[in-house]
Amino acid sequence: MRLGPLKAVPTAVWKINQWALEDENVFPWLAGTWQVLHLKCSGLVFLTGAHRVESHHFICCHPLLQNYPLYIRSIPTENELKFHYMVHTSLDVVDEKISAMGKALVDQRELYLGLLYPTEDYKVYGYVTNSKVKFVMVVDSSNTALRDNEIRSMFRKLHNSYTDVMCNPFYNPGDRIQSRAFDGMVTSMMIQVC
Amino acid sequence: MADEALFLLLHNEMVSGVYKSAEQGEMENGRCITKLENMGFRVGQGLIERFTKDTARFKDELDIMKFICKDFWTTVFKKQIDNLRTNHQGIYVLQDNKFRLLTQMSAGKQYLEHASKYLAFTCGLIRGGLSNLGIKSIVTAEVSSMPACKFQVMIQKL
Repeated sequence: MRLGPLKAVPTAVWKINQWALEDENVFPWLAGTWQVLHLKCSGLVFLTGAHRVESHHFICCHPLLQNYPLYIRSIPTENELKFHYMVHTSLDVVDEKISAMGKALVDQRELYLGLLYPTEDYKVYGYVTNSKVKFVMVVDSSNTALRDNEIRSMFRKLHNSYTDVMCNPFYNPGDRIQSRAFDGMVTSMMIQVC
Repeated sequence: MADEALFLLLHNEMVSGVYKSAEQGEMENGRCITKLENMGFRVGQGLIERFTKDTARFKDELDIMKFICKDFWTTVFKKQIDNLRTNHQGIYVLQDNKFRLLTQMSAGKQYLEHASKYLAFTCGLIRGGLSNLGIKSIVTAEVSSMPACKFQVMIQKL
């Protein structure tokens, strides 16, 4: 019943492991955490039923520079690792969707990728900008107020805000996003939804 | 229009500012071009992020180059590139017969040696834009008689 995400597990873990090995400086905490993630996924991550809190998770990452996260944020903060893990697994699905999209007609080549995959408790949505920055959002699937259009407009907002960050001369492209404006926008979006 | 003039004036001041600071010994003269190019690179990255915000996803490399020639050029220089040629192996030549940043100088060959400083920023602009769209490239410019100029874009395969 949860074949989709589970199938993606080995490659994702392997990838995280790869980055961790290659790029411990860029992404030091991954080196320590990937094994924990791996242990968790067998029994915990996808099979948990206790999580009925509204939760959200955002990530933007820059794939040209090894897919490392530019910004991660989640509410609630407990069990954060689980969401990190979900988001990282979904990156494979994002790649798949993009490569399939190359041949599509112009009006179908939208930046919003739609639902990446549903699990029992959460829905994972994706969005990729023309500059290949990936946005991934995980929302509680019990939240029926969030339909495709709402998700799409949330991504638009996120993208607009990211553009402002990029155009800030004091921001170095590829660095972690620490902008207060961006932070505030994400917080307000999360609060609004929860 | 006023905003066009502002960009031209700012660009002129930027070039002379960079060269003046070089004369005062803050850095060697040869680094000026690099500095201007790097400034262009960062600006290009920011601009392309904004310009492609509402466009559909690009199909391929040529699609991106067309975007640069049409939309990008129109927004920055108020005209399109006049001619785009490619050998389909990663080399593109963008020809502009009346390049905005050179129109203020007298046409012909008199100031040909100074042309390079006024092209460095634009080279960076193209390179930065492409790099943000996921294409690594080397951009060089060439002027044979003002105000026409050619930009050669060499795509670096990963």
